[in-house]
Amino acid sequence: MTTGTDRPAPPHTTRRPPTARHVTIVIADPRCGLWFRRMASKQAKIDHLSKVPLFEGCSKKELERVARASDEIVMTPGTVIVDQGQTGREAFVVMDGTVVVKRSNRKVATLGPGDVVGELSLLDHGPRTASVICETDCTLLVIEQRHFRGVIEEVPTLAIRLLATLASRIRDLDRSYYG
Amino acid sequence: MFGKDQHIEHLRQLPLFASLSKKEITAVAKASDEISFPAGHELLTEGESGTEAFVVLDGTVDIKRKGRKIASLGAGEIIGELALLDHTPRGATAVCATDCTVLVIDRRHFAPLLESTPALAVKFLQELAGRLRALDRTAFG
Repeated sequence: MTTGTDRPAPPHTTRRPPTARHVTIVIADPRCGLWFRRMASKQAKIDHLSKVPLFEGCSKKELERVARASDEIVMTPGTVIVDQGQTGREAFVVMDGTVVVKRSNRKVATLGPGDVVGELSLLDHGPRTASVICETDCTLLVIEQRHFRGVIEEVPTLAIRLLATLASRIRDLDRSYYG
Repeated sequence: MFGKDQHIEHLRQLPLFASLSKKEITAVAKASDEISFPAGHELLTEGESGTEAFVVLDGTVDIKRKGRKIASLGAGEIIGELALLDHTPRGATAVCATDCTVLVIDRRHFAPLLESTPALAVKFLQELAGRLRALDRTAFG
């Protein structure tokens, strides 16, 4: 059996007993400090995905596709996951915990489980429109740019959900702007 | 009457459908119907739910919000397309300013198309993302 790099976790991260066959810790992005990437078993990940409202209605095959294209990460409070003005390379789905959305340092929203963050930059390749910071310990699903398009093309249920999300954001903004 | 070929041409001119293949755009055209309305007809009403989008083929349509005219749309423009994607009430009223011929796309026909045509869903997502960003900029500077 192959085992990953099984280093002891630093004291500030809570580590549940590993349920997977192997646990790998990867330092993914130095800009954001340490990202601890937990390789849960495939089935556990799919089970987890199926509980997120965004993926409601997805078939088992579709969930498997999402699981294959994404990583589950655990972040500590205060971690900046999206930085306003920067280029975006990934989209996030909040699985557990809450994140704060800030625009020019002013808090504009709090998001929780099932909410999507950062998909705009992946769709139009523009800079991040806001910063997003973990408010609590957060479990997030990360989909990297190079997987994102494939996922929305191959998981129509998700594409349609995302479309509805964008549509409602357009309506909200539109209403707040034009009254 | 405009023929199916002209419907396809009109649809192709919309940024939303511009990058679709011939086969995909033909499917969109098939899912839509051409209808003519007299001046004064309300295509959609603010606050009411709706399931249709309209592509203007001929004539002018006024867009009003709370009774105030905010835009005037002509041939080749699309109205009410958000209703193809969600079930939220209309955000504005659209009234035919002249006699109009429009292409009606209903969610019932469009939803299966979105599911079977990934390119359409992706294009739609990109288009909405662009619009959201533009709105975002006007709203927050």
